[in-house]
Amino acid sequence: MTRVLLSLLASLLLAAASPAAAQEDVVLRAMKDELARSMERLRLESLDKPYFIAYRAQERTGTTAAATFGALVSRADSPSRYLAAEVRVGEPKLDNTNFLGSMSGPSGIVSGRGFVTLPLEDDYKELRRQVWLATDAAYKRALEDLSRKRAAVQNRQNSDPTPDFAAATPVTWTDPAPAGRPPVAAALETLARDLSAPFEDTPAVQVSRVSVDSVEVLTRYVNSEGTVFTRRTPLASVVVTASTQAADGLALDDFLAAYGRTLDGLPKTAELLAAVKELGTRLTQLRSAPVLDRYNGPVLFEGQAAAEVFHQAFAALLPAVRRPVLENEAMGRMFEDNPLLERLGAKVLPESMSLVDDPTLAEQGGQTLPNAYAIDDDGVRPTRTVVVEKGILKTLLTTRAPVRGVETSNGHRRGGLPAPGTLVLVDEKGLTAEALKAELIERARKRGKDYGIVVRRVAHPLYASREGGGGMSFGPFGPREGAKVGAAIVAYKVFPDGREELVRNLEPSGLVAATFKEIVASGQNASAYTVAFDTRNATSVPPFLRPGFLPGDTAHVVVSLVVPSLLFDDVTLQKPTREASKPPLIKHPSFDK
Amino acid sequence: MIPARAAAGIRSTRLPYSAYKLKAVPMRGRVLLRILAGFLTTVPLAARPAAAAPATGQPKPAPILAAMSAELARWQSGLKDQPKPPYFLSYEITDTQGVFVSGAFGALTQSAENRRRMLDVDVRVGDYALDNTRALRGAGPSFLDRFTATEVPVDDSPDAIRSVLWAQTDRRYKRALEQLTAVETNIRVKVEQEDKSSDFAKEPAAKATEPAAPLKVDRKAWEQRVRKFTAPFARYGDMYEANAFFVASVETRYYVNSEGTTLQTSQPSYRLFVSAFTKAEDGMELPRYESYFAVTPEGLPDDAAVLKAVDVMIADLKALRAAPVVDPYTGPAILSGRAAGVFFHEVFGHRIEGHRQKREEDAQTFKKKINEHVLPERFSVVFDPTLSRMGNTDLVGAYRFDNEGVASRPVTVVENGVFKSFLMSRTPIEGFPDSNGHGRKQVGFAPVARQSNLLVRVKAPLSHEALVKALIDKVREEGKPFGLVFDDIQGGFTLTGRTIPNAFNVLPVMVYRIYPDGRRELVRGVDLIGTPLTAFSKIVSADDQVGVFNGVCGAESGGVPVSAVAPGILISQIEVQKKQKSSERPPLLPAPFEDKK
Repeated sequence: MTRVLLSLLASLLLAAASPAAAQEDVVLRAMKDELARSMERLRLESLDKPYFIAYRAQERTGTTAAATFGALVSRADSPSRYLAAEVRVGEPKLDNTNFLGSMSGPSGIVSGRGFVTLPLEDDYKELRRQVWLATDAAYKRALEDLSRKRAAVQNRQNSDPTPDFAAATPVTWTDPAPAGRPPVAAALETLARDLSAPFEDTPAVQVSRVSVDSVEVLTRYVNSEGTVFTRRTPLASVVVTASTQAADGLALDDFLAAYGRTLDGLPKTAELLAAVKELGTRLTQLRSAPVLDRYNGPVLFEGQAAAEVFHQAFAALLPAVRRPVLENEAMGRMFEDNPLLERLGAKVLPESMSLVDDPTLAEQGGQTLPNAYAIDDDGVRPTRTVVVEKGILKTLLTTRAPVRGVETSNGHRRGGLPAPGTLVLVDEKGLTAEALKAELIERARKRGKDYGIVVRRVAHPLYASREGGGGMSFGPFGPREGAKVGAAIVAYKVFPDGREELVRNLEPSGLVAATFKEIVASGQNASAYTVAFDTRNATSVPPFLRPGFLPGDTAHVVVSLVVPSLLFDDVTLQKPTREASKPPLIKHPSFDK
Repeated sequence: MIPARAAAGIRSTRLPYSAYKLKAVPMRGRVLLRILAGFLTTVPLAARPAAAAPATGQPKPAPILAAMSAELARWQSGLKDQPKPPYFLSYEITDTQGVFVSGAFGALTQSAENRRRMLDVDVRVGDYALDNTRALRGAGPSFLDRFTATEVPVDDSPDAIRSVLWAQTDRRYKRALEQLTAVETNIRVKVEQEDKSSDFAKEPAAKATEPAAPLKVDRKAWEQRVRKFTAPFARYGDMYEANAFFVASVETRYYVNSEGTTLQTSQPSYRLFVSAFTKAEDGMELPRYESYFAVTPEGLPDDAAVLKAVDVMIADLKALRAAPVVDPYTGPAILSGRAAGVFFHEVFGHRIEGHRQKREEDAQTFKKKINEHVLPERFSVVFDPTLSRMGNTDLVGAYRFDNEGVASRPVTVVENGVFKSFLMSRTPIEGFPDSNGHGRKQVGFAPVARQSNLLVRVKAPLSHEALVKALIDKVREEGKPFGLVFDDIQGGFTLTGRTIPNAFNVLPVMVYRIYPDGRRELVRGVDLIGTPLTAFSKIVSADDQVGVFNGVCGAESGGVPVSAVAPGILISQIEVQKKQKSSERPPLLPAPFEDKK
């Protein structure tokens, strides 16, 4: 209680220091008051009391708009406020978390959801009621989970001795209220229409869509250790997807994604328009490019392609998630351990390469990084983390849910799960672009190839335009190698004389995290690439089954990657083996003249 | 099933597990989700082309219809040289404009507007007798084709709209060709089908243009109202949810098909739904609902009337907490008008939806009952989608044209106790080759025969008092300790398959025991269950107190609005089972504002 009061005092002092936050936040007050009452008195008969309670409330405001072919398809701006209670019983060594019971799902008054809807207005009495109900449900579920988990663990040997909860220092943090007004919805609509218009003059493109979002998530957090924070995460984005088919029916999809903290932080409209037109031109050219059945040999991934393969095959495995204790061991097959966990202390990249994650990095080479954050969803301040040092894997990205080998948080809880902030990959021996290309040609020659391959764009699983394409993945939970790296959208044959020839529909095969220590050369001076993080590999217990889950947790987490061009000596690229649908039977109505 | 405001027929012939699961989930949470889902996705909404259609004078067809007709014609001529050109092609664009406002315990929880247009394409290859839509026998449901709606621009840009129509037609046509091949093979490898009717009924072309209705909502006023309607619940620490939802919408449908039908219809709706629940000491969740539906904002009750209903809800919930739990029981019972309406909807309505008589995995309870007595002679049952109002209540199951472009009409299904007809979509069954305007669906689903406004009519009804007296007489006669009166109801569900029990379940909220001395006692914790033919054969008489249940019915073609209108009925023998109950105890700490420590 005293601690809570102290922290309350501390936060008040801090609030007083910043004039924008001078007025006390009613939502935060309701959270603190219910937290104090629950820590003091919430207990079911002789069962365990909570040893830790945290509340996370997310208030989402903003607008999203989508358009196609110069016309608006939808616009939505529905503000929401949700709160999740995270209640831990037992002790940090063994508590109710990191456990998956037989698939019954949570039950109770705040039934299946585990979170509550808060009123949109600052009605203290009603806020308290909802926090109370959320706490009660979370506590009851925690008690049940703990007893079932203890029962399961009792009968097993060789259990992972890693504790369930890592210590953290109490922190107080308040982001100032934003200056300026939120963008007018009409501005988003106009931008979406304008950016979708160039496709009216691009007969080659069959389906296209432009989404423009500008949202702000205000997160309020309190926990029983005295941490209190208020964080504002504004994010604006433009995502353009377009698709077509070549004459043989094979699908050609490409995208454009741009992120900024606000609409003003996005590239200028003229720049975006130029990029959209370029996207149309690329697809038009690709349609008539030749295909290549299969290629085995040296491949140079340049620019976006390098960042994207690194993202999907390597960075996607960096979040440290643990295989949960399972009530029913038959479910064990559904969960796999992160292959990188076994590689802590081992070589994962060439000796000349190091990888750092720095969520606090606000700028890189003059580019603002919209994904930067000062405090994570556990209330831990992230710091610059050396992940790979001279080729050796030093750590993974963690939350307060530790994993074997990395038992403290390095501030990476973003939503329900750990995720990177900004990853910077550096090669001490980086080559110039010309030297890299020469190296590719030389290696191709040594292999007796007529040409090498350079890949300049790679598809991203979350930016798929086709219905039924992308996004869906079945199979085991848990981090694992093997999710396929996206298709090489733009690739060229590079001949010994330096001449390049466009090829289409190449898909990398067998490119996994372990491949990266075989990188033979890389570039210099990479620029930052900001995208939605590929979480296909990174889940353990599905987020919605985790205590403290909020609906916003399933939203895309945006990360930045600074990755130089990467040359591999032996990569397989091949034409998709799937069947392809025939091209449209009649022409697009606008081009059927 | 009929969750809450919401009548839904979980008709789960092919998905017994999902039905089971639905039943296993506490009703309340699901109800709210359903309503949200229902209203955010399907809600009728208003078209902005309102500008193009002045309220008076001859309404002009919207530009969107011209774009649809042009693209349809282009595909017809573009495909005519294909080996298997489509014999039927239709586009339906549903333009939904809505306002959604909700509050809980006196505070606002949501306030939003939305506008969207969704496209449904029906491409048929083969011919009317045999086409790609025929169900594959022995195969499970095809989820691949279950939900197919696509977003269409809300701007009236013919080029942009046609580009979506184009991409979808191409896709659906190719899929139809694949389906037809599968159907043709399936026919060869399976024994001959019992029902030899065609796959698609020919219908005359229809043309109609309704002006797009305006959406008349003062959102700020409704924000204030949902606060006001839920504020009384905030006084109580033992009310765990208390919500008011207001949904106003205008749904404008644009439909064209290759037979020459061109329709533009516009349907406004205004709904208010108030719900709350408490828990008994034994953990049982006790809900109460009030729902109001109207086609004009003025049709909804005024604030005083809603607040009065809220007071009754609070009193009922308090009484329910104290009420005893009923053990399983069989005996005579009265269903109030609303309860009887839901009973008929579940027990009877879902079993006379025409397409079910064709599916060999369906129990087809009434298939061979044409011209047989199924009810007492004084009872008739009519489905009348042309009826828009009953007394002071608007009927939500009314429409002018169904989702297959067929004009609505009243259908007498039971006349003086004798079964006469099924509800028909354009999927014929033996003896019923034509649609009777009941092909309905939610956006994105394929239409099937669905209910509209169910009306139970009884000649020479008793007064309510006389019906109660008849119940008491029956109780005495059979030496039962008491009879039951089902007064209010939250919904129900039914299963019509062969491999799972062919049964129904009606979920009552307010149930009373009536003792031989006429005393009434509120009870809790019962569901009304049974099998259809037995339950139907026990209907004895009815009173003159007609009740209206407006809800959303869910089945394989999605959620559709339906009404059920019936008098109170006396059933000589019903069966009740214990309600599935939450095992979670009430909150451990008192509500913060009631905490005196």
